Amino acid sequence: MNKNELVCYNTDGSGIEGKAKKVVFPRNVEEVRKIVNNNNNNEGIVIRGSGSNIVGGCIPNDSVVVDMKKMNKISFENGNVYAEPGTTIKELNEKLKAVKSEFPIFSRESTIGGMVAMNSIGFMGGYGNIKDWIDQIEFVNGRGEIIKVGRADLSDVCGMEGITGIITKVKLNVIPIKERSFSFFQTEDLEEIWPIARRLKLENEIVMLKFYSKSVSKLLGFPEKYHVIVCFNSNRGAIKGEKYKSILNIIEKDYLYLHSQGYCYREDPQLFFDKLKDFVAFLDRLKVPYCGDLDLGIIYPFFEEDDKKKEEVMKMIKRMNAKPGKYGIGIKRKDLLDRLEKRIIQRIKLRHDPFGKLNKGNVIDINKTDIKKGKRIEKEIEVSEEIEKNNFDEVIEIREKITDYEDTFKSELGDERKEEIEKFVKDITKGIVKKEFVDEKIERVGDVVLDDNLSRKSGKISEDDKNLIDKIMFNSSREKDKEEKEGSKGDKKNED
Amino acid sequence: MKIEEHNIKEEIKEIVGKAAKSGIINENCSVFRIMRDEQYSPKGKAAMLDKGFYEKVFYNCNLCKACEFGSSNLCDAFQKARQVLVLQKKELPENKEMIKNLQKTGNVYGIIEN
Repeated sequence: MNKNELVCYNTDGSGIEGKAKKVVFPRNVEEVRKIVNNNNNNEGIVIRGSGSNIVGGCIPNDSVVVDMKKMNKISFENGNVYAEPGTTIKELNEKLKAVKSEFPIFSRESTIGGMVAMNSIGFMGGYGNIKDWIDQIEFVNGRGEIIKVGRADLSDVCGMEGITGIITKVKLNVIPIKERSFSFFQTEDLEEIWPIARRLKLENEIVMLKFYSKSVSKLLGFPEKYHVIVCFNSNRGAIKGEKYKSILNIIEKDYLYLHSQGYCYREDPQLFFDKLKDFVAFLDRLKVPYCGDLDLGIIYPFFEEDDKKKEEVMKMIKRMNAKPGKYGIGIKRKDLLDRLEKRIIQRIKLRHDPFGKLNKGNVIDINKTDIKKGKRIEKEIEVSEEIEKNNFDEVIEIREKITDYEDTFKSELGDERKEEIEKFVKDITKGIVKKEFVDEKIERVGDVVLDDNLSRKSGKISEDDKNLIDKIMFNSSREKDKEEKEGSKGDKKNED
Repeated sequence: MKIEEHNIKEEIKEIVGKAAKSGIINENCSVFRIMRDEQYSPKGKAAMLDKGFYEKVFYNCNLCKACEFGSSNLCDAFQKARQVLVLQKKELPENKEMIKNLQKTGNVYGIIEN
């Protein structure tokens, strides 16, 4: 690759510029592992998918860029779908179409690796985060170890924005293809929207509640009114078939329409449903174009370059305690994290990437002391491994010594001594008294006979013994006793 | 720098400045879907043009306009970038051979008819 061509890897969707040192294209897990192991601590690694992140998630800082796009295999094993991180969701769905199924976290250009790392929400918010649709993730951590995590530990990678490991394989859940439909709700009064949206949020069939301001709806070619576009998971909506597809195409590319009008920056504050009303009213007063996902509680205000309104809106977002919605934290929005959240992320980061190799400066800043901590942990692990090794060596040495010991103290018998021993052994057998085993039920434990010294007789049993046995086993003697007793009672009565 | 080249470069900068540099413009690019290197993608090419780098990668474009959206016309920018490359005499060896063949035999393949 040419030096000038490296410029392509300096930026992503955020517009922030960094500097890529070199670019590598791994094709399998082993290559990823080699890249991590051969990397210097100072260089650092930046993982890149499609580069559509708008918060600076894959901006290199004179570091090596690992482009995952060439790891794009999709496989079907035992009814499960395995996808490598470089596959885009569009490519995955194109393949899944052959087996009449689909992956419902829709996104056009994003790669699976990128979406998993950001734990992003798809185009249809009703399906939730991508984490809910993953069973297993395979990744290479900062130490160069290949790790597989199940559902319980997905948060070690999912949503960490690539600071803990490089994702190499993902096991996905898919659903059968569904026919969907749209319904439109138009109004000029903003107050009408909130009760309707609140009611629609409760419906299970609804997977998307898209909201457009007057100005944005005009840009998209709709009448200049507030619009709520409802997407049903069934044929319940009014717009189906080809019309559905054309409107879906418009909605998916709404931000590109706005970009072409000069609105190239957008934010994604996530608010409580009750606060949305005030925030939207505030945006209307400032005449900021916006759209939103009402089911998720996210409003996207759009800004032009050097827009003075942006500062005001950002202040309001902070005042309303909004959380970052869809786009993650990246380099741009580290301030939005709490101290506790930062500490938790830091711990997970140090556990998987103690040297701070992966995505430096992303999500959290790691100080030199933290890296030292990490190194200390690493050293401790190395020391323990050495101890284990040494112990193992010691054990082998001891065993060797024991065998030597046995060999050295083996009696070297002469022929005379051997004959004496043989004689003694033969005499022992003469001393053993042979026993006649009367009963077959004599226990044998190895060569030892367990005898209880009780004489067991064979032959006829006397009548008394028979009666005794009958008494014990069949209670027959009792009947006789009863008869005798009854006989005796009758006699007594007669006497009376 | 020639005046013609300078003018073309300015036009290119204007077009690229307006265009969205999001990943979505890569979505329909057939060349990028096969090559999977960022420099072959419309977004990557736009980034290069933004910096004023003109490389032979611009020849690897179908000029199919699949990357165009709304008012952005990136494909025109790529076509103009090729003009600049020709003016700078940065040609592919295949092109040179083609021209030679044309001069010699009258066809691009260099086959002489009996």
